[in-house]
Amino acid sequence: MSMAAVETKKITLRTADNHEFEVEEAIAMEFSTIKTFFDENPDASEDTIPLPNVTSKCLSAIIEYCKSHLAFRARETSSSIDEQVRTYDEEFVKARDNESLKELILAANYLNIKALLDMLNQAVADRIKNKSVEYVRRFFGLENDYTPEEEAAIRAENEWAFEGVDPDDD
Amino acid sequence: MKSEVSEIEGGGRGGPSLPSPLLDLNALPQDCIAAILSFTTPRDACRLSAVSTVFKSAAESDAVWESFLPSDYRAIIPSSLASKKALYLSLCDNPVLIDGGRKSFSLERGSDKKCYMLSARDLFIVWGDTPTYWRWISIPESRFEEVAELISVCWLEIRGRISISMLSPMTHYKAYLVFKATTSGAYGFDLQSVEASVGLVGTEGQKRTVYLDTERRRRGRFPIAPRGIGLFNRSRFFGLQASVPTTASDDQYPKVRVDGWLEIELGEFFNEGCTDEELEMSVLEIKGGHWKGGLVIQGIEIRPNLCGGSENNAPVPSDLCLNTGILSGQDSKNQDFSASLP
Repeated sequence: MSMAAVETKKITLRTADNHEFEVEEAIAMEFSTIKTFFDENPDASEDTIPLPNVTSKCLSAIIEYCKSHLAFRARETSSSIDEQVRTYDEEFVKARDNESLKELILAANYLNIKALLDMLNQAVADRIKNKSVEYVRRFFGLENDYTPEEEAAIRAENEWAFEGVDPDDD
Repeated sequence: MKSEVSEIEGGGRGGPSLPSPLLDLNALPQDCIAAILSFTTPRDACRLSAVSTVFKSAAESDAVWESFLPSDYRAIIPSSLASKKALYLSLCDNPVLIDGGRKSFSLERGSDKKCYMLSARDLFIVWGDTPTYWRWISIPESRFEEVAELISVCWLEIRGRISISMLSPMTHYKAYLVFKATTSGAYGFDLQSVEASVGLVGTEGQKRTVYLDTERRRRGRFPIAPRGIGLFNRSRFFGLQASVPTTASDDQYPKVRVDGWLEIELGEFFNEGCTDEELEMSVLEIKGGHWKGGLVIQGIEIRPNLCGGSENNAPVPSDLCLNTGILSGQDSKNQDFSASLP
């Protein structure tokens, strides 16, 4: 039984840590995963959508991002708007540590929010550019699963790419 | 350990449900890693394949290397090679002919910046069509079908132009004249400097004085700027000071290239990349009035300046670049200090 049509329809999302977020439909539609889901299941909009892969911390940051960018897009394009968008994006990533950037990337990837994902990928890329192999292993939490011979072979093959790498400062 | 990439599954058991969750929040899936790497540089992608086996798969994937290739690569190079990475590396090591064979194109390996060489036929050479002054020949060591042989001129004027839109934006470029002496030898260039210039068409451009002296390179150059290298101090004993201009420095003389040709730097240019304009590079000797000749011109090369210029390259002190030039042009066994200058 459908309720009376409301001006701003809200969608309820439940995160992995069991917090519920009510968001305007316009914002939920920024998440391509959810948009596609609703396109295929138009009757499901009343239900609470579980997001077992997204924490509340991530989701609230993502919702803020989408809200802000929707607001930017609603205004007329100009170079000062572009400048504000750039500043907003910079601020969005600047204070976050590597762990939270990774979490955000996983969430943005899962929810399929292309603009946010590109922006986050660029931010992480900037953090690993010209960094050593060991630094990047720690950054991604990856174990070295090469044998010493295999690793030596790869390093020899790409010797030119190892020159002038930033020293690890820890 | 790999995590699965989530895919949309419309409808499941017992009603519609969202895609199944990733298995491990701590490990980014391979295609996420590839997406991040496509925002780094070719150099980073090659180096970081040493991180782990999963990282290597991501780092070598077509998704990453396609983003490093120029957007019109399919028109430039036949993509018969297996992977995009192989295609990329091939474009770095083997320049391809474009523009009807008038130019060659390649990529700077570490930074995916574009490099070009304008063939002699693509240049504006004054008197170039007059056979008493210039001759067009084909030689096997040139990448182009024809090179221009300077028989003899008084008025030397060579100009090349390239559209800014062809170059990589936000990049420091340097231009070089690529040439060598004919078998009978060059003359008229050993003491007479030429004026090189690089700049946007319609502007003054940056000018520098250079020497197209191929002989001095073989005989051993004597840069006046002291570098504390014993070999060069011998110039003082042979009275050569008088004939060498006191302000000449090493980078005003030709250097030997890996492909065996000589090159002389004409100037540099920072491309911001947002214009429709053209860059002009030129070599002029029109004041001396004397006859000169005996050069073969392959073309003008424009390539990124790796010495502390481009943002993606590890900065190299410019001293090091000049020293490399000194060392590569030298062969101490061939130095003949008893030879006298003409």
